[in-house]
Amino acid sequence: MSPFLFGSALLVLWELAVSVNGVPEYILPGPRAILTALWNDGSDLWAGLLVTLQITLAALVMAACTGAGIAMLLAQTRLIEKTLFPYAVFLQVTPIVTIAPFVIIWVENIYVVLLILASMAAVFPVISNTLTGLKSADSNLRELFQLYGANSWQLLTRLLVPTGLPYFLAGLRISGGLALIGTVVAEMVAGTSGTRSGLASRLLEASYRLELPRAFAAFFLLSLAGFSIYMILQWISHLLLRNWHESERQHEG
Amino acid sequence: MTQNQCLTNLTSVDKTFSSGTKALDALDLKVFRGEFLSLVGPSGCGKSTILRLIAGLMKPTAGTIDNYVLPGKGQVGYVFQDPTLMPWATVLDNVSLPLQLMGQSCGDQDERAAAAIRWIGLSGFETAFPRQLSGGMCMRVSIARALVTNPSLLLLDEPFASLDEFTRSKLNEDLLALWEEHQWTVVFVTHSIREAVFLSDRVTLLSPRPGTLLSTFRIPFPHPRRGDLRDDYEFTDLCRKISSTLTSAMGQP
Repeated sequence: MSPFLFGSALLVLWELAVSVNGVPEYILPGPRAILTALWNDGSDLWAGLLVTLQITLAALVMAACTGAGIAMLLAQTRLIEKTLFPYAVFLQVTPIVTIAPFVIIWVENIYVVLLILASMAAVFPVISNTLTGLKSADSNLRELFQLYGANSWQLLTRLLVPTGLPYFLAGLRISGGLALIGTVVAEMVAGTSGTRSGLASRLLEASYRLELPRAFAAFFLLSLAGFSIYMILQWISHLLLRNWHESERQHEG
Repeated sequence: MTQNQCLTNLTSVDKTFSSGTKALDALDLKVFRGEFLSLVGPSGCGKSTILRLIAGLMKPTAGTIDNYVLPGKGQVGYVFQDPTLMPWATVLDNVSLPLQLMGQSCGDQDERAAAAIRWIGLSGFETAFPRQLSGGMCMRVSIARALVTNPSLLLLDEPFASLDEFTRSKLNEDLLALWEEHQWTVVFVTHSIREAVFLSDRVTLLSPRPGTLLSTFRIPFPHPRRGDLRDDYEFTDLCRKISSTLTSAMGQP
Protein backbone atom coordinates (compact mmCIF):
# COMPACT_ATOMS: atom_id res chain seq x y z
CA MET A 1 0.00 0.00 0.00
CA SER A 2 2.76 2.45 0.91
CA PRO A 3 4.33 2.68 -2.59
CA PHE A 4 0.87 3.61 -3.94
CA LEU A 5 0.37 6.34 -1.29
CA PHE A 6 3.86 7.68 -1.93
CA GLY A 7 3.17 7.86 -5.67
CA SER A 8 -0.18 9.58 -5.14
CA ALA A 9 1.37 12.19 -2.85
CA LEU A 10 4.05 12.85 -5.44
CA LEU A 11 1.42 13.33 -8.17
CA VAL A 12 -0.55 15.77 -6.01
CA LEU A 13 2.61 17.78 -5.27
CA TRP A 14 3.48 17.81 -8.97
CA GLU A 15 0.01 19.01 -9.96
CA LEU A 16 0.14 21.75 -7.30
CA ALA A 17 3.62 22.91 -8.31
CA VAL A 18 2.64 23.14 -11.97
CA SER A 19 -0.67 24.96 -11.43
CA VAL A 20 0.60 27.34 -8.71
CA ASN A 21 3.61 28.42 -10.78
CA GLY A 22 1.58 28.48 -14.00
CA VAL A 23 4.08 26.28 -15.94
CA PRO A 24 2.86 25.97 -19.55
CA GLU A 25 1.91 22.50 -20.81
CA TYR A 26 4.59 22.47 -23.53
CA ILE A 27 7.31 22.82 -20.84
CA LEU A 28 5.96 20.54 -18.11
CA PRO A 29 2.39 19.25 -18.08
CA GLY A 30 0.73 18.31 -14.80
CA PRO A 31 -0.66 14.84 -14.08
CA ARG A 32 -4.18 15.97 -14.96
CA ALA A 33 -3.15 17.11 -18.45
CA ILE A 34 -1.27 13.83 -18.94
CA LEU A 35 -4.29 11.81 -17.85
CA THR A 36 -6.47 13.77 -20.26
CA ALA A 37 -4.04 13.06 -23.10
CA LEU A 38 -4.03 9.39 -22.12
CA TRP A 39 -7.84 9.38 -22.21
CA ASN A 40 -8.16 11.21 -25.54
CA ASP A 41 -5.32 9.47 -27.40
CA GLY A 42 -5.84 6.18 -25.59
CA SER A 43 -6.50 3.93 -28.58
CA ASP A 44 -3.68 5.49 -30.58
CA LEU A 45 -1.13 5.08 -27.78
CA TRP A 46 -2.41 1.60 -27.01
CA ALA A 47 -1.81 0.54 -30.62
CA GLY A 48 1.75 1.87 -30.33
CA LEU A 49 2.28 0.09 -27.04
CA LEU A 50 1.17 -3.22 -28.58
CA VAL A 51 3.74 -2.87 -31.40
CA THR A 52 6.51 -2.05 -28.93
CA LEU A 53 5.52 -4.88 -26.60
CA GLN A 54 5.41 -7.41 -29.44
CA ILE A 55 8.94 -6.52 -30.48
CA THR A 56 10.12 -6.50 -26.86
CA LEU A 57 8.72 -9.94 -26.13
CA ALA A 58 10.00 -11.40 -29.39
CA ALA A 59 13.43 -9.92 -28.60
CA LEU A 60 13.32 -11.33 -25.07
CA VAL A 61 12.45 -14.82 -26.33
CA MET A 62 15.23 -14.59 -28.89
CA ALA A 63 17.71 -13.37 -26.26
CA ALA A 64 16.66 -16.17 -23.90
CA CYS A 65 17.09 -18.91 -26.52
CA THR A 66 20.31 -17.69 -28.12
CA GLY A 67 21.73 -16.65 -24.73
CA ALA A 68 21.08 -20.04 -23.20
CA GLY A 69 22.43 -21.75 -26.33
CA ILE A 70 25.62 -19.67 -26.34
CA ALA A 71 26.09 -20.30 -22.60
CA MET A 72 25.81 -24.06 -23.15
CA LEU A 73 28.38 -23.84 -25.92
CA LEU A 74 30.75 -21.79 -23.73
CA ALA A 75 30.29 -24.21 -20.83
CA GLN A 76 31.57 -27.16 -22.90
CA THR A 77 35.26 -26.55 -22.29
CA ARG A 78 37.41 -23.91 -20.67
CA LEU A 79 39.09 -23.29 -24.02
CA ILE A 80 35.87 -22.38 -25.84
CA GLU A 81 34.87 -20.10 -22.97
CA LYS A 82 38.24 -18.33 -22.91
CA THR A 83 38.20 -17.91 -26.69
CA LEU A 84 34.65 -16.66 -27.15
CA PHE A 85 33.58 -14.95 -23.92
CA PRO A 86 35.50 -11.69 -24.65
CA TYR A 87 33.34 -11.27 -27.76
CA ALA A 88 30.20 -11.60 -25.67
CA VAL A 89 31.60 -8.78 -23.50
CA PHE A 90 32.20 -6.68 -26.62
CA LEU A 91 28.57 -7.24 -27.54
CA GLN A 92 27.55 -6.02 -24.11
CA VAL A 93 29.64 -2.83 -23.98
CA THR A 94 28.88 -1.72 -27.56
CA PRO A 95 25.94 0.72 -27.50
CA ILE A 96 23.34 -0.60 -29.90
CA VAL A 97 22.89 2.93 -31.27
CA THR A 98 26.29 2.55 -32.95
CA ILE A 99 25.37 -0.74 -34.61
CA ALA A 100 21.93 0.43 -35.73
CA PRO A 101 23.05 2.22 -38.93
CA PHE A 102 24.69 -0.97 -40.27
CA VAL A 103 21.78 -3.19 -39.42
CA ILE A 104 19.41 -0.73 -41.09
CA ILE A 105 21.48 -0.95 -44.28
CA TRP A 106 21.68 -4.74 -44.26
CA VAL A 107 18.13 -5.60 -43.26
CA GLU A 108 15.17 -4.27 -45.15
CA ASN A 109 12.27 -5.04 -42.82
CA ILE A 110 12.27 -2.40 -40.08
CA TYR A 111 10.67 -4.74 -37.51
CA VAL A 112 13.40 -7.31 -38.07
CA VAL A 113 15.92 -4.48 -37.54
CA LEU A 114 14.26 -3.59 -34.22
CA LEU A 115 14.14 -7.24 -33.21
CA ILE A 116 17.85 -7.76 -33.93
CA LEU A 117 18.91 -4.61 -32.09
CA ALA A 118 16.70 -5.23 -29.06
CA SER A 119 17.80 -8.84 -28.67
CA MET A 120 21.43 -7.81 -28.97
CA ALA A 121 20.85 -5.37 -26.13
CA ALA A 122 19.17 -8.06 -24.01
CA VAL A 123 21.29 -11.15 -24.60
CA PHE A 124 24.33 -10.61 -22.39
CA PRO A 125 22.83 -11.07 -18.90
CA VAL A 126 21.34 -14.38 -20.06
CA ILE A 127 24.71 -15.58 -21.41
CA SER A 128 26.68 -14.47 -18.37
CA ASN A 129 24.26 -15.74 -15.72
CA THR A 130 23.48 -19.04 -17.43
CA LEU A 131 27.18 -19.72 -17.90
CA THR A 132 27.78 -19.18 -14.17
CA GLY A 133 24.83 -21.45 -13.43
CA LEU A 134 25.98 -24.26 -15.70
CA LYS A 135 29.41 -24.17 -14.09
CA SER A 136 28.16 -24.25 -10.51
CA ALA A 137 26.90 -27.83 -10.49
CA ASP A 138 27.92 -29.68 -7.32
CA SER A 139 31.13 -31.61 -8.02
CA ASN A 140 30.01 -34.56 -5.86
CA LEU A 141 26.76 -34.80 -7.83
CA ARG A 142 28.84 -34.81 -11.02
CA GLU A 143 30.81 -37.75 -9.64
CA LEU A 144 27.58 -39.50 -8.71
CA PHE A 145 26.35 -39.12 -12.30
CA GLN A 146 29.70 -40.49 -13.49
CA LEU A 147 29.44 -43.41 -11.06
CA TYR A 148 26.13 -44.52 -12.55
CA GLY A 149 27.39 -44.15 -16.09
CA ALA A 150 25.28 -41.13 -17.06
CA ASN A 151 25.71 -39.94 -20.65
CA SER A 152 26.30 -36.29 -21.48
CA TRP A 153 22.64 -35.72 -22.37
CA GLN A 154 21.54 -36.97 -18.93
CA LEU A 155 24.22 -34.84 -17.30
CA LEU A 156 22.96 -31.78 -19.16
CA THR A 157 19.23 -32.25 -18.65
CA ARG A 158 19.22 -33.70 -15.14
CA LEU A 159 22.06 -31.83 -13.50
CA LEU A 160 23.36 -28.81 -15.40
CA VAL A 161 20.05 -27.36 -16.60
CA PRO A 162 18.28 -27.60 -13.21
CA THR A 163 21.36 -26.15 -11.48
CA GLY A 164 21.53 -23.33 -14.01
CA LEU A 165 17.81 -22.53 -14.05
CA PRO A 166 17.76 -20.03 -11.12
CA TYR A 167 20.76 -18.20 -12.62
CA PHE A 168 19.12 -18.16 -16.07
CA LEU A 169 15.91 -16.72 -14.59
CA ALA A 170 17.84 -14.03 -12.69
CA GLY A 171 19.52 -13.10 -15.98
CA LEU A 172 16.18 -13.09 -17.75
CA ARG A 173 14.75 -10.56 -15.27
CA ILE A 174 17.53 -8.14 -16.17
CA SER A 175 17.15 -8.92 -19.87
CA GLY A 176 13.41 -8.14 -19.74
CA GLY A 177 14.15 -4.51 -18.93
CA LEU A 178 17.01 -4.38 -21.43
CA ALA A 179 14.80 -5.78 -24.22
CA LEU A 180 12.33 -2.93 -23.67
CA ILE A 181 15.10 -0.31 -23.51
CA GLY A 182 16.64 -1.85 -26.62
CA THR A 183 13.34 -1.72 -28.49
CA VAL A 184 12.74 1.91 -27.47
CA VAL A 185 16.23 3.04 -28.46
CA ALA A 186 16.05 1.10 -31.73
CA GLU A 187 12.65 2.65 -32.52
CA MET A 188 14.02 6.12 -31.87
CA VAL A 189 17.09 5.52 -34.02
CA ALA A 190 15.59 3.45 -36.82
CA GLY A 191 12.21 5.13 -36.76
CA THR A 192 8.86 3.56 -37.41
CA SER A 193 5.89 5.37 -38.85
CA GLY A 194 2.22 5.16 -39.68
CA THR A 195 -0.28 2.92 -37.95
CA ARG A 196 2.33 0.24 -37.27
CA SER A 197 4.68 2.59 -35.42
CA GLY A 198 5.72 1.79 -31.87
CA LEU A 199 5.14 3.79 -28.73
CA ALA A 200 8.67 5.20 -28.62
CA SER A 201 8.32 6.60 -32.14
CA ARG A 202 5.03 8.20 -31.11
CA LEU A 203 6.66 9.64 -28.00
CA LEU A 204 9.40 11.22 -30.09
CA GLU A 205 6.88 12.50 -32.63
CA ALA A 206 4.74 14.07 -29.88
CA SER A 207 7.75 15.78 -28.31
CA TYR A 208 8.78 17.25 -31.70
CA ARG A 209 5.30 18.77 -31.92
CA LEU A 210 5.58 19.99 -28.32
CA GLU A 211 2.56 17.83 -27.41
CA LEU A 212 4.16 17.14 -24.05
CA PRO A 213 1.09 15.69 -22.28
CA ARG A 214 0.91 13.03 -24.98
CA ALA A 215 4.66 12.40 -24.82
CA PHE A 216 4.43 12.03 -21.06
CA ALA A 217 1.48 9.65 -21.41
CA ALA A 218 3.58 7.51 -23.75
CA PHE A 219 6.48 7.68 -21.31
CA PHE A 220 4.31 6.44 -18.43
CA LEU A 221 2.91 3.61 -20.51
CA LEU A 222 6.45 2.51 -21.38
CA SER A 223 7.56 2.62 -17.74
CA LEU A 224 4.49 0.68 -16.72
CA ALA A 225 5.22 -1.90 -19.44
CA GLY A 226 8.81 -2.31 -18.20
CA PHE A 227 7.61 -2.71 -14.64
CA SER A 228 5.00 -5.29 -15.69
CA ILE A 229 7.56 -7.30 -17.65
CA TYR A 230 9.77 -7.44 -14.57
CA MET A 231 6.91 -8.50 -12.31
CA ILE A 232 5.74 -11.20 -14.75
CA LEU A 233 9.26 -12.62 -15.04
CA GLN A 234 9.53 -12.52 -11.25
CA TRP A 235 6.29 -14.45 -11.01
CA ILE A 236 7.39 -17.07 -13.55
CA SER A 237 10.62 -17.46 -11.60
CA HIS A 238 8.64 -17.90 -8.40
CA LEU A 239 6.45 -20.60 -9.99
CA LEU A 240 9.45 -22.54 -11.23
CA LEU A 241 11.61 -22.28 -8.12
CA ARG A 242 9.23 -22.05 -5.18
CA ASN A 243 9.54 -25.70 -4.23
CA TRP A 244 13.25 -25.89 -3.86
CA HIS A 245 15.38 -22.81 -4.34
CA GLU A 246 16.70 -20.74 -1.44
CA SER A 247 15.83 -17.46 -3.19
CA GLU A 248 12.16 -18.40 -3.04
CA ARG A 249 12.22 -19.50 0.55
CA GLN A 250 9.50 -17.92 2.69
CA HIS A 251 10.88 -16.20 5.75
CA GLU A 252 9.01 -17.90 8.51
CA GLY A 253 9.26 -16.76 12.05
CA MET B 1 30.23 -65.45 7.56
CA THR B 2 32.39 -66.09 4.52
CA GLN B 3 35.21 -63.60 4.53
CA ASN B 4 37.73 -65.26 2.30
CA GLN B 5 36.57 -63.98 -1.07
CA CYS B 6 38.34 -60.78 -2.06
CA LEU B 7 36.03 -58.20 -3.66
CA THR B 8 38.51 -55.39 -4.22
CA ASN B 9 42.27 -55.63 -4.09
CA LEU B 10 44.56 -52.58 -4.11
CA THR B 11 48.21 -53.48 -4.69
CA SER B 12 50.99 -50.93 -3.99
CA VAL B 13 48.79 -48.06 -5.12
CA ASP B 14 50.29 -44.58 -5.43
CA LYS B 15 48.24 -41.48 -6.03
CA THR B 16 49.81 -38.12 -6.74
CA PHE B 17 47.53 -35.23 -7.69
CA SER B 18 48.34 -32.81 -10.49
CA SER B 19 49.11 -30.23 -7.79
CA GLY B 20 52.03 -32.45 -6.74
CA THR B 21 50.43 -33.58 -3.50
CA LYS B 22 51.14 -37.22 -2.80
CA ALA B 23 47.97 -38.65 -1.26
CA LEU B 24 48.76 -42.37 -1.18
CA ASP B 25 52.07 -44.21 -1.07
CA ALA B 26 52.38 -47.91 -1.88
CA LEU B 27 49.04 -48.78 -0.34
CA ASP B 28 47.93 -52.40 -0.11
CA LEU B 29 44.33 -52.99 0.85
CA LYS B 30 42.00 -55.95 0.49
CA VAL B 31 38.26 -55.72 0.88
CA PHE B 32 36.55 -59.06 1.49
CA ARG B 33 33.04 -59.92 0.37
CA GLY B 34 30.41 -59.28 2.99
CA GLU B 35 32.64 -57.51 5.49
CA PHE B 36 32.24 -54.12 7.14
CA LEU B 37 35.63 -52.44 6.86
CA SER B 38 36.39 -49.04 8.37
CA LEU B 39 39.26 -46.79 7.34
CA VAL B 40 40.36 -44.50 10.16
CA GLY B 41 43.01 -41.82 9.98
CA PRO B 42 43.70 -38.13 10.41
CA SER B 43 42.43 -35.54 7.93
CA GLY B 44 44.17 -35.59 4.60
CA CYS B 45 45.52 -39.13 4.83
CA GLY B 46 43.83 -40.03 1.55
CA LYS B 47 40.83 -41.91 2.90
CA SER B 48 38.44 -40.30 0.43
CA THR B 49 40.96 -40.87 -2.33
CA ILE B 50 40.86 -44.61 -1.61
CA LEU B 51 37.07 -44.64 -1.99
CA ARG B 52 37.25 -42.65 -5.23
CA LEU B 53 39.84 -45.09 -6.61
CA ILE B 54 37.72 -48.11 -5.70
CA ALA B 55 34.66 -46.47 -7.29
CA GLY B 56 36.61 -45.82 -10.48
CA LEU B 57 36.11 -42.05 -10.18
CA MET B 58 39.88 -41.57 -10.47
CA LYS B 59 42.84 -43.62 -11.66
CA PRO B 60 45.88 -44.50 -9.56
CA THR B 61 49.25 -42.98 -10.48
CA ALA B 62 50.89 -46.37 -9.97
CA GLY B 63 49.86 -49.81 -8.75
CA THR B 64 46.85 -51.93 -9.60
CA ILE B 65 43.26 -52.13 -8.45
CA ASP B 66 41.49 -55.43 -9.03
CA ASN B 67 37.78 -54.90 -8.74
CA TYR B 68 35.26 -57.70 -8.82
CA VAL B 69 32.42 -55.21 -8.92
CA LEU B 70 31.57 -52.99 -11.85
CA PRO B 71 31.09 -49.30 -11.16
CA GLY B 72 28.60 -47.90 -13.65
CA LYS B 73 26.29 -50.91 -13.38
CA GLY B 74 24.93 -49.95 -10.00
CA GLN B 75 27.12 -52.48 -8.21
CA VAL B 76 28.82 -49.73 -6.24
CA GLY B 77 26.92 -47.35 -3.96
CA TYR B 78 28.61 -44.15 -2.79
CA VAL B 79 27.64 -41.87 0.09
CA PHE B 80 29.41 -38.53 0.35
CA GLN B 81 30.26 -36.51 3.43
CA ASP B 82 27.41 -34.13 2.58
CA PRO B 83 24.01 -35.51 1.58
CA THR B 84 24.66 -34.25 -1.99
CA LEU B 85 20.99 -34.30 -2.95
CA MET B 86 19.43 -32.54 -5.91
CA PRO B 87 17.47 -29.70 -4.24
CA TRP B 88 14.99 -29.50 -7.15
CA ALA B 89 13.94 -33.13 -6.86
CA THR B 90 11.71 -34.85 -4.33
CA VAL B 91 12.98 -37.55 -1.99
CA LEU B 92 11.58 -40.22 -4.33
CA ASP B 93 13.24 -38.70 -7.40
CA ASN B 94 16.53 -38.29 -5.57
CA VAL B 95 16.52 -41.91 -4.45
CA SER B 96 15.55 -43.26 -7.87
CA LEU B 97 18.22 -41.19 -9.68
CA PRO B 98 20.70 -44.10 -10.03
CA LEU B 99 17.96 -46.26 -11.59
CA GLN B 100 16.94 -43.43 -13.94
CA LEU B 101 20.54 -42.90 -15.05
CA MET B 102 20.95 -46.62 -15.65
CA GLY B 103 17.75 -46.66 -17.71
CA GLN B 104 15.44 -48.85 -15.66
CA SER B 105 11.75 -48.95 -16.52
CA CYS B 106 9.62 -46.41 -14.69
CA GLY B 107 7.25 -48.48 -12.57
CA ASP B 108 10.11 -50.61 -11.34
CA GLN B 109 12.06 -47.46 -10.40
CA ASP B 110 9.39 -46.08 -8.09
CA GLU B 111 8.87 -49.45 -6.45
CA ARG B 112 12.54 -49.99 -5.73
CA ALA B 113 13.04 -46.40 -4.61
CA ALA B 114 10.07 -46.71 -2.25
CA ALA B 115 11.58 -49.91 -0.84
CA ALA B 116 14.93 -48.22 -0.22
CA ILE B 117 13.15 -45.31 1.46
CA ARG B 118 11.31 -47.81 3.67
CA TRP B 119 14.57 -49.53 4.69
CA ILE B 120 16.03 -46.26 5.82
CA GLY B 121 12.87 -45.31 7.71
CA LEU B 122 11.63 -42.35 5.67
CA SER B 123 8.30 -43.71 4.39
CA GLY B 124 5.78 -40.89 4.11
CA PHE B 125 8.42 -38.36 3.00
CA GLU B 126 8.55 -39.46 -0.66
CA THR B 127 7.16 -36.19 -2.01
CA ALA B 128 9.12 -33.90 0.33
CA PHE B 129 11.94 -31.70 -1.00
CA PRO B 130 15.39 -31.88 0.63
CA ARG B 131 15.14 -28.42 2.15
CA GLN B 132 12.08 -29.52 4.14
CA LEU B 133 14.15 -32.24 5.85
CA SER B 134 16.64 -32.13 8.73
CA GLY B 135 20.34 -32.88 8.21
CA GLY B 136 19.95 -36.42 9.53
CA MET B 137 16.98 -37.11 7.27
CA CYS B 138 18.88 -35.79 4.23
CA MET B 139 21.70 -38.20 5.09
CA ARG B 140 19.15 -41.03 5.24
CA VAL B 141 17.94 -40.06 1.75
CA SER B 142 21.52 -40.10 0.57
CA ILE B 143 22.03 -43.61 1.99
CA ALA B 144 18.76 -44.81 0.45
CA ARG B 145 19.99 -43.53 -2.93
CA ALA B 146 23.20 -45.55 -2.54
CA LEU B 147 21.20 -48.66 -1.59
CA VAL B 148 18.56 -48.42 -4.31
CA THR B 149 20.56 -50.41 -6.87
CA ASN B 150 21.16 -53.12 -4.26
CA PRO B 151 24.93 -52.70 -4.66
CA SER B 152 27.51 -55.36 -3.89
CA LEU B 153 29.83 -52.72 -2.50
CA LEU B 154 28.83 -49.70 -0.43
CA LEU B 155 31.36 -46.88 -0.02
CA LEU B 156 30.68 -44.37 2.75
CA ASP B 157 32.87 -41.28 3.04
CA GLU B 158 32.46 -39.85 6.56
CA PRO B 159 28.70 -39.78 6.09
CA PHE B 160 27.83 -38.82 9.65
CA ALA B 161 30.62 -36.32 10.33
CA SER B 162 28.38 -33.26 10.27
CA LEU B 163 25.57 -34.70 12.39
CA ASP B 164 24.98 -34.25 16.10
CA GLU B 165 25.88 -37.04 18.56
CA PHE B 166 22.32 -38.42 19.00
CA THR B 167 21.47 -38.47 15.30
CA ARG B 168 24.82 -40.01 14.59
CA SER B 169 24.39 -42.86 17.11
CA LYS B 170 20.89 -43.57 15.82
CA LEU B 171 22.06 -43.65 12.21
CA ASN B 172 24.97 -45.92 13.19
CA GLU B 173 22.56 -48.39 14.74
CA ASP B 174 20.14 -48.24 11.79
CA LEU B 175 22.95 -48.69 9.26
CA LEU B 176 24.31 -51.64 11.23
CA ALA B 177 20.87 -53.28 11.40
CA LEU B 178 20.47 -52.86 7.62
CA TRP B 179 23.91 -54.31 7.02
CA GLU B 180 23.25 -57.26 9.33
CA GLU B 181 20.12 -57.97 7.29
CA HIS B 182 21.51 -57.49 3.76
CA GLN B 183 25.23 -58.26 4.12
CA TRP B 184 26.51 -55.78 1.56
CA THR B 185 30.25 -55.23 1.55
CA VAL B 186 30.91 -51.87 3.18
CA VAL B 187 33.97 -49.63 3.20
CA PHE B 188 33.39 -46.90 5.74
CA VAL B 189 35.63 -43.86 6.17
CA THR B 190 35.52 -42.03 9.50
CA HIS B 191 37.48 -39.91 11.97
CA SER B 192 35.76 -41.53 14.90
CA ILE B 193 37.37 -44.64 16.37
CA ARG B 194 34.29 -45.42 18.48
CA GLU B 195 32.06 -45.28 15.42
CA ALA B 196 34.45 -47.51 13.47
CA VAL B 197 34.70 -50.10 16.30
CA PHE B 198 30.95 -50.15 16.81
CA LEU B 199 30.17 -50.79 13.14
CA SER B 200 33.03 -52.83 11.74
CA ASP B 201 34.42 -56.31 11.37
CA ARG B 202 37.83 -54.80 10.68
CA VAL B 203 39.27 -51.37 11.39
CA THR B 204 42.25 -50.25 9.32
CA LEU B 205 44.40 -47.35 10.47
CA LEU B 206 46.05 -45.06 7.94
CA SER B 207 49.06 -42.81 8.49
CA PRO B 208 49.05 -39.08 7.74
CA ARG B 209 49.82 -37.95 4.17
CA PRO B 210 50.97 -39.71 2.16
CA GLY B 211 48.58 -42.39 3.33
CA THR B 212 49.96 -45.85 4.03
CA LEU B 213 48.55 -48.75 5.99
CA LEU B 214 49.48 -48.61 9.69
CA SER B 215 47.71 -51.62 11.15
CA THR B 216 44.44 -53.50 11.04
CA PHE B 217 42.33 -54.51 14.02
CA ARG B 218 39.80 -57.31 13.97
CA ILE B 219 36.66 -56.37 15.95
CA PRO B 220 35.47 -59.48 17.78
CA PHE B 221 32.02 -58.38 19.03
CA PRO B 222 29.26 -60.67 17.72
CA HIS B 223 26.26 -59.54 15.69
CA PRO B 224 23.58 -58.36 16.12
CA ARG B 225 25.15 -55.49 18.04
CA ARG B 226 23.06 -53.17 20.16
CA GLY B 227 23.64 -49.53 21.07
CA ASP B 228 24.60 -50.44 24.65
CA LEU B 229 27.68 -52.26 23.33
CA ARG B 230 29.34 -48.83 23.47
CA ASP B 231 29.19 -48.94 27.27
CA ASP B 232 30.94 -52.32 27.58
CA TYR B 233 34.38 -52.36 29.15
CA GLU B 234 35.83 -54.45 26.31
CA PHE B 235 34.52 -51.99 23.74
CA THR B 236 36.04 -49.00 25.51
CA ASP B 237 39.28 -50.85 26.03
CA LEU B 238 39.59 -51.73 22.34
CA CYS B 239 38.87 -48.14 21.35
CA ARG B 240 41.60 -46.97 23.71
CA LYS B 241 44.07 -49.47 22.27
CA ILE B 242 43.38 -48.37 18.69
CA SER B 243 43.50 -44.73 19.71
CA SER B 244 46.92 -45.07 21.31
CA THR B 245 48.24 -46.89 18.23
CA LEU B 246 47.05 -44.01 16.06
CA THR B 247 48.41 -41.37 18.44
CA SER B 248 51.88 -42.93 18.57
CA ALA B 249 51.93 -43.12 14.75
CA MET B 250 50.88 -39.48 14.52
CA GLY B 251 53.59 -38.53 17.03
CA GLN B 252 56.37 -39.60 14.68
CA PRO B 253 57.74 -36.63 12.73
